[in-house]
Amino acid sequence: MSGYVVDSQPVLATDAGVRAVYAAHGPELYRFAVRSLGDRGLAEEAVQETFVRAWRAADRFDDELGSLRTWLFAIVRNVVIDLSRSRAVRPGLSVVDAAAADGVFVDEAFERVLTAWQVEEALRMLSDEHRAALVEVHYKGRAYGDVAGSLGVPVGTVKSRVYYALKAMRLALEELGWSSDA
Amino acid sequence: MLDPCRDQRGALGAAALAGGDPADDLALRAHLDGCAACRAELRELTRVARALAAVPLSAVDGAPPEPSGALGSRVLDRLARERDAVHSRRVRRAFAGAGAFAGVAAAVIAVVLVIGAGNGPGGTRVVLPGVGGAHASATATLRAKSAGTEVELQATGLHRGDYYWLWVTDEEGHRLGAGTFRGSDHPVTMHLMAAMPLAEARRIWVTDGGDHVVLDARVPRST
Repeated sequence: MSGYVVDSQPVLATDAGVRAVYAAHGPELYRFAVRSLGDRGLAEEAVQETFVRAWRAADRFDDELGSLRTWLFAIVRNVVIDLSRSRAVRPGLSVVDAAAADGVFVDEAFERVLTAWQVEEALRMLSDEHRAALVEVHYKGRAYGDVAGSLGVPVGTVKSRVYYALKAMRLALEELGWSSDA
Repeated sequence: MLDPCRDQRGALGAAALAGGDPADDLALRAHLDGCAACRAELRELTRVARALAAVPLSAVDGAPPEPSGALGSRVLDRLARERDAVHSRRVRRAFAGAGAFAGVAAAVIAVVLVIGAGNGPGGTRVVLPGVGGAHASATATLRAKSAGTEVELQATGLHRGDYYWLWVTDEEGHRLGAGTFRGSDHPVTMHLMAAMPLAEARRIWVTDGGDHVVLDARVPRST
């Protein structure tokens, strides 16, 4: 096992390492927890618990088997399930409650939440121009000609931005662990 | 130079958003018929376009939820408490298993345990329990010197003849070597030196030849 190490120490072994991992992944873990739990206070608790569990299991993490982000999200997923089941989360807001209400399996519900979160995060990673083109054309259903007129650019430019936005989305989604087979 | 694939990119994106159907774009359809690479790309982009349906417009337009500015500090505090708790358990286990240190010697060690690692006129005393089930243990007395920190290390339970490295680490995780020594299954005492001021040392630890941590302890802030 190679382990995820900085200066031959597990990455969470030092305060500096924890700060670096939190800066890189803390906010996105939080957003995932908020989306799953529907409660900002519980989401912050979920992030803290995720780091504690990651620290306890740091010697079992192998960066040759997956990214640190993927590993952390596997942990926060379990934390969210535990918190949902053990606490009085506001009814109907947590992913576990929603799964029960919809009669679907928790895994399936989590897949939905995970995909939605991945798409949101990937959209945020786009440049402003690419995101705007995708939002106007896809989400708002505007014609390419209308969007081109609003932006003062040729129609071909809007189409090109949509193409590159989708390309960039694919890379971002893959980086976030999205499976295109899903 | 003509690049027919490049010329079709805009149309490819539009087709992906339309569900992968080139519709009445005859030029794109003709190109796809003869270009496997663009057909494959259209399939990929269409999957991405379908994934967009997972998010409503409101989520795209609104500001994302962000954690409070204090969450990072809370994470650090939780981990510090966790480390302290684990360290205390290890120290208790290390001394619970040290049956050889009976009688007066055990009483002396118990005093050290109760007091914990501490500072005194003779230096800062730290107990290093074995890591990962290692039977080794050590005590270190750290003394501030003009050249850095002198470490008087008393270790036992190490593999005889193996090479070991002693390290000290500061608050930011920067480590400095304090020297090497060879292990012994009998208690051995040695004096080593690290070029780090004692006031900055936060961790003292020993690694073996495979760079595995075998002894580890936090260093209390010196007074």
